[in-house]
Amino acid sequence: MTDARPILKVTDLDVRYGAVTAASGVSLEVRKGEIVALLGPNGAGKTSVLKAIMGLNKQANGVVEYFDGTKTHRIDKMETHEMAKLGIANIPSSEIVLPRMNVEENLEVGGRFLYSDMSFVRKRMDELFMRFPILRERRKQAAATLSGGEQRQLAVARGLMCEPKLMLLDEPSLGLAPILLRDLFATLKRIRDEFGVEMLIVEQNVNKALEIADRAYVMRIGSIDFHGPAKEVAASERLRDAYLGS
Amino acid sequence: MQFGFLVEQVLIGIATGAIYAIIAVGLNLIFGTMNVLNMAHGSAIMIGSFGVLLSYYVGVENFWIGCAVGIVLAFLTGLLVERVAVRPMKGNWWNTKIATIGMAFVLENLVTVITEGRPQLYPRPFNPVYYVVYGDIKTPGGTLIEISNIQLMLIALSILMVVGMVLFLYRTATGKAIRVVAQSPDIARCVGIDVKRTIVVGFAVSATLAGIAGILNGVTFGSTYSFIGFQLILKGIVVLIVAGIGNMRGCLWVGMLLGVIESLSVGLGESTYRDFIAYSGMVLVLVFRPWGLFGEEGRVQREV
Repeated sequence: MTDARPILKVTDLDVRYGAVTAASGVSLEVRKGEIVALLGPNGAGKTSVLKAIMGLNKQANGVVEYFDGTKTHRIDKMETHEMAKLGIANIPSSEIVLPRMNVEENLEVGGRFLYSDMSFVRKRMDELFMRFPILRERRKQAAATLSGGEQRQLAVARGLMCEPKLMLLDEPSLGLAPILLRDLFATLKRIRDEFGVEMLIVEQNVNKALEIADRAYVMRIGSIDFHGPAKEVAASERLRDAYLGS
Repeated sequence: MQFGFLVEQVLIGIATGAIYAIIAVGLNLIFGTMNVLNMAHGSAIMIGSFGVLLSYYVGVENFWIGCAVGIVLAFLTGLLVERVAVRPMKGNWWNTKIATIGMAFVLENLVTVITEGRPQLYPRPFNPVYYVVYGDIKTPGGTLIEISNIQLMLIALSILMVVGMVLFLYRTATGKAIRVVAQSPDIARCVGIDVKRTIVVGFAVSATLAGIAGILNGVTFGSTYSFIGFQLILKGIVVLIVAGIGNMRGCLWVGMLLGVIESLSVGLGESTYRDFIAYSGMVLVLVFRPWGLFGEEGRVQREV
């Protein structure tokens, strides 16, 4: 029954900014092989929850557990840089790439601080350049000069450098043109299918997220309104209510 | 004006400019990692220079042991500044700046009390030997250019330190971590970098450089005093701004340029204009190239 054990389990998470409550009583889980979407209108608290899971927001309370295949770790009190070593790739949305380093360095940074063996890091970089040919073309270019779509690809590729078991993505589609957005989501789905990387994605673009997700949670004013398989959520009236308010 | 005299002034300028360059490189390192101007950098300069005197005072009259004492004390000053005036400010730009200024005043006034504010004579690592570079010492009135072994040491050390710093930042894992933290602390955390530790390392390295600069300055001028740090940090800031924040090699060139300009204006009998020339040059650069001579355009919009 190990398969039933969730990869990520969040129980009763509260996030506060001073006196303001951004999220309360949030519980969710990501099971083996799943892409899970965390949806909701602006200000519902999705990003606050994700940042709290990533350890980037220290004013959060609740239990966050991560199962790496053999052992369960409590990660809610853990520093973000220690989580990277457990195989959790965090891809924040505020700062996507390191602007003054070139594409190659950006990628190298994803593995350099986790593996002492540089030849392994290089091998991994070559593999990822095969998978993201546009990045290989631009490998000597400063990351700041890449287009928005290329920067998102670079951020995902950097996350993959650590051979993650779980990826946490904050609004990967932010600022992307529709065609690039489709490419990026196809890439994410392929990564899940080929590498078996579970994902938790916070997303504004509800339709696109529900196309690739297996399950979805919908947040509304700081707590989980409802959740279920992506298809059911997509068809549900409550989803429209959450966004339009009723 | 004799040609030989001019060349000598340029050489002296390069040697003092080298000290400015080392100071600017240290400031640059902290500006790079924390996006903060460490106003207590001057204290590490001053404490480094007084470390040598301290070891003489307690009876260890060996210049090189004194250097080691000075560098260790400067290193500890860096750790102290980070712990007391930087970390508790939690990244707030203005608070950090004010706290580091306060820290500088505390340390520099402490040393003023101990030394009763008097300038102190500085020991020399070895007796100066002057080498004739050009001309003949036996021809009176002929063109003669000399350089001392101490000046040569200053120039060599500063180049070595800037090159070392560039290698450290671009080739070592710790240096890379510092550059990643400088560009995005969040990404740094996400790729497994211990940001807190990296900042401490940055301060320690920076303060060590400051200590070395303080010692070199003492050797150059034959004396030191408790507010030497305030005087030198201003030069360091000028160099940093003119070179362009974030650029190490630029600090080397601009530091030496500033040293040469100063030494020429003194040598030509215009010593009252020394600072006027240096600072108006800085203002001109800021007007026409706000990102500095060697800096990257766009970087300037990042802070404040």
